[in-house]
Amino acid sequence: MSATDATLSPIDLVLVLGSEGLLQHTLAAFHGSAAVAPATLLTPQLVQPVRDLEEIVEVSRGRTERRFFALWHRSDWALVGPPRSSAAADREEKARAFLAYPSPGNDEARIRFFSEHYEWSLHSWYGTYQERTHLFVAADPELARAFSTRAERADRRTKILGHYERVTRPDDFGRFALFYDHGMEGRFAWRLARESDGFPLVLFEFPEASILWWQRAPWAQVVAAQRNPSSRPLVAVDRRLYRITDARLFDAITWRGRGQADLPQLIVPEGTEPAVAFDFLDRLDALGGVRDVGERVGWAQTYVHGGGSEEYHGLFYARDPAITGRFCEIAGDFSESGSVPIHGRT
Amino acid sequence: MEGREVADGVQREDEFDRPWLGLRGEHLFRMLLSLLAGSPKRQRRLLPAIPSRGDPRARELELNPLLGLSFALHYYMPAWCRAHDPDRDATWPLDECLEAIDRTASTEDVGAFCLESFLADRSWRQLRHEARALLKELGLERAPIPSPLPIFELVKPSS
Repeated sequence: MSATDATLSPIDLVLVLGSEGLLQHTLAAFHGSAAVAPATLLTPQLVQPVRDLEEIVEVSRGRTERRFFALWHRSDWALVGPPRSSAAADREEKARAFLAYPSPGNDEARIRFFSEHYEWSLHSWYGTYQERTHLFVAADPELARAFSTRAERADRRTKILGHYERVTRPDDFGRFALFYDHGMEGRFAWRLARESDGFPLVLFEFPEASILWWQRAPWAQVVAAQRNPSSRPLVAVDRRLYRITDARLFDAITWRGRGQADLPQLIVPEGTEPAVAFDFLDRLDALGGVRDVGERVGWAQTYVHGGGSEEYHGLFYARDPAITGRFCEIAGDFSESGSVPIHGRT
Repeated sequence: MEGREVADGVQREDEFDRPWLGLRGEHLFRMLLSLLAGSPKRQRRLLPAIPSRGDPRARELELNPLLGLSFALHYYMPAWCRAHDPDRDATWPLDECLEAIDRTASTEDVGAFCLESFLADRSWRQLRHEARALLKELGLERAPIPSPLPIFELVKPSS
């Protein structure tokens, strides 16, 4: 995200983890609210006015055209409320361009654009391959609060990842970063930790009694270990949190070339309470899990597998959006010398 | 020291690949490959004092040259791959073979990291074969190796 001093008109942002069921339930909860209808569904390919909330719900349930439903699932999309002014004839075209070419550089511009042109907007994209995230942007705080409350009640898989009220500066939000660092795994977090004069802690889960080449190194210090946790009664596992004090060793053990199973489960700053890190391994939701760890210890990074054979991407969260901003800057430094596309920051 | 040009024009040290013994990681890895590509007899000359099974030194990274060799190969492999084999297609068989040797060791047993295994085991023969094949596939000459190779110097932290 490019830094800017420009301010926004105050908006509320609600970041929600949830399935399509979230949309269905939430919008159904808004039924009858004049603030919500009419709405327009935007995808990179089309603009689909929806007459009323029943139609939105029908669309979300896939009861309309199959083609439409497929697009709904696969691409970035946004559902937008009434325009804030009747001007800007090419408004939808510009809005769709944000969906067609998402990038970290235009996340901020995207939110700015939608907040300036629509009373509210709901954005959806993949957070992980198993989890879809939604961002509700509204000028009306009452509407945002209603969305937040009702979204959480939508179904048990739905979780509020963040509710940022009366945001006026881009740096007031953006705690998550989704990124690819293939071939440079872990380096961004290493550099971030070193900027605070600490060494990153790396969490791995191994089959019990195994000993890997680097575990003999005295400069890979075991901070804490947990053997056969009660949460995993059927398998013998050895969880270890390491403090690595050598850049080359850190690089070698986090590098994807060591095999997918050896990607770190979690990278956190020095001083992290081991129990916080170990608890993360029992979480089923990567987004919520990394958010909770990051809130407690400052920042956290993990990897999410899926999308295809041996595919994965990184997920970062910091309690302070400025740290996420710095993380993205570090990643940008590497991008300029290699090819590490950054997927986005929210 | 070499550095990396960053956007603001400042030379930043590459902390992930500091030169060691005057060489960068990719060159050190090539030297290790060249060692592996030789005969066991020459390897014993370059890596003296490989402990026998049961010798307590066999379990120590700083005392067993075979543990040092395995460690150094892993340690410098990323730098090598980034320079010569970014998709790891060529290096993959050697890496698999190295990991197979690694897996023979456990917290209780030194596995193939002893003189007897080094001279007789199929896994070490296969590793030598893969090293020769890798150098050949990438069209690289064998690198000169100091004798004896200071293998324990190669497994000290770089930072």
